[in-house]
Amino acid sequence: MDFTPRRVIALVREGFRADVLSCQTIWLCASCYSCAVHCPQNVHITDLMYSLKREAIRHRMYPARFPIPVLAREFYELVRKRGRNSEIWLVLRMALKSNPFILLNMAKYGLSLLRTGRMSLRMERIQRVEELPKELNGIKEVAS
Amino acid sequence: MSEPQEANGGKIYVYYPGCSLSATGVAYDESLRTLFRLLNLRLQELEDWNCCGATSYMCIDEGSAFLLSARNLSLAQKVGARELVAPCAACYLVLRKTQDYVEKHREIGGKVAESLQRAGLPPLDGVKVRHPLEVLYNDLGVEKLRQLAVRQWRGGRIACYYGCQAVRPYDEVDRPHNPMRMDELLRAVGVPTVDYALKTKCCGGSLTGTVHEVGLRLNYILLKEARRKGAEAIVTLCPLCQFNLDVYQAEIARQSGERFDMPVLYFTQVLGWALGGDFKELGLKRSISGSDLIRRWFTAKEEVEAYV
Repeated sequence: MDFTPRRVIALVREGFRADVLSCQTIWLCASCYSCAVHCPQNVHITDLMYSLKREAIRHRMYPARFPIPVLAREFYELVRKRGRNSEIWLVLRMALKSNPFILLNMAKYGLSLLRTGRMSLRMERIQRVEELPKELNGIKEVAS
Repeated sequence: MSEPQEANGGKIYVYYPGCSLSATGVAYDESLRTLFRLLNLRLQELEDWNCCGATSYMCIDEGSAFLLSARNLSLAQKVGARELVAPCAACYLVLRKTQDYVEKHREIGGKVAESLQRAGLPPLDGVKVRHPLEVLYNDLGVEKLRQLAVRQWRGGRIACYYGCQAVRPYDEVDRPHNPMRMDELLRAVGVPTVDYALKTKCCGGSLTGTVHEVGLRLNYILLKEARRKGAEAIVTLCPLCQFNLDVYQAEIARQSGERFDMPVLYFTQVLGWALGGDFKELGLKRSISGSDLIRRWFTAKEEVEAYV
């Protein structure tokens, strides 16, 4: 984590746009909402982190080959195209586009997942993809 | 449309499995279906459901993330359901948040209504998003569960781990700061649970797959504390928590030099066992860590009957 969350917010307030959008901290937020239920001022910190991640994606300012934003992009593409996510394919695509060495470590888990029947190689998709609203592709961002 | 009901008037719970429950979290799906069957509660899978978007989709595009969940909520309405049951914590939260934001923010609500109409789906009309933990706690109740238990627990003490998104930021599944409902249900069927202070600390979610070291560290802390409190197993309510704590345990043990080999189970597996479900139909063979202990604790039905 390169900045603390408090520092991220301070940087936003003072307009250090590039520093915030290219940092790792915002991507390390796993959306556990711990801050959200503890904040006495009811600041929606998780939603704020999401906004910063989206800004970083939109302007391609996220740290290069950092696996978390790559995972988000691959996930997004998969869901938009097929309506469902397929865990194994998602991990493969994420690793190939960020750090293929991740796969070396993953491979040993593949076997135990296969053995226990927990790995599905099927490419999932919904039957009525046409029902996915057309705006999935380009809705205007709504402030929240 | 009236709510889906069985011929005898029993309620049918419309069920949203999500992606994990058909792959890495298949034991959760199996044990949930088994448990509901043993309780005479009907589960019906939502037809043609789509991905909830989890946390990743929201990082790219917020507006259409709400549309994804709106389609699922609308499909539930289409079959007449007033409620949708989502066992995965991430699915639960995304659906719940969508329902909340659609009602609170007119701009989001307007976009959602417009796009559902264009897709030929019914507009949202307050479908309630529910988690099985809270369904069992509220609709069935601790007392009823106690009466229905048919097996005596012969296993060890358990740490109930609630994780993040099922109990935060909404407080309907349980209290965000000190959830106890899983403990209460387990204790009702005779399973001793320990006081586990880290029960709502994050497992890192997908961090184990992206920034591996950080993810492992978070799970190491969770395992170590459970062990320190005298727990021999951990029980979860989320497929991602179960995956992280179960699958990476050997690697965590290697790195830390400590031995764990703890079973990491779903609460539905333990409750299902107490109610008479069998090993296979509860997905108990799908655990990777602590499988010896699992085999010892959950001996086959015939053996138990011969034993009693």
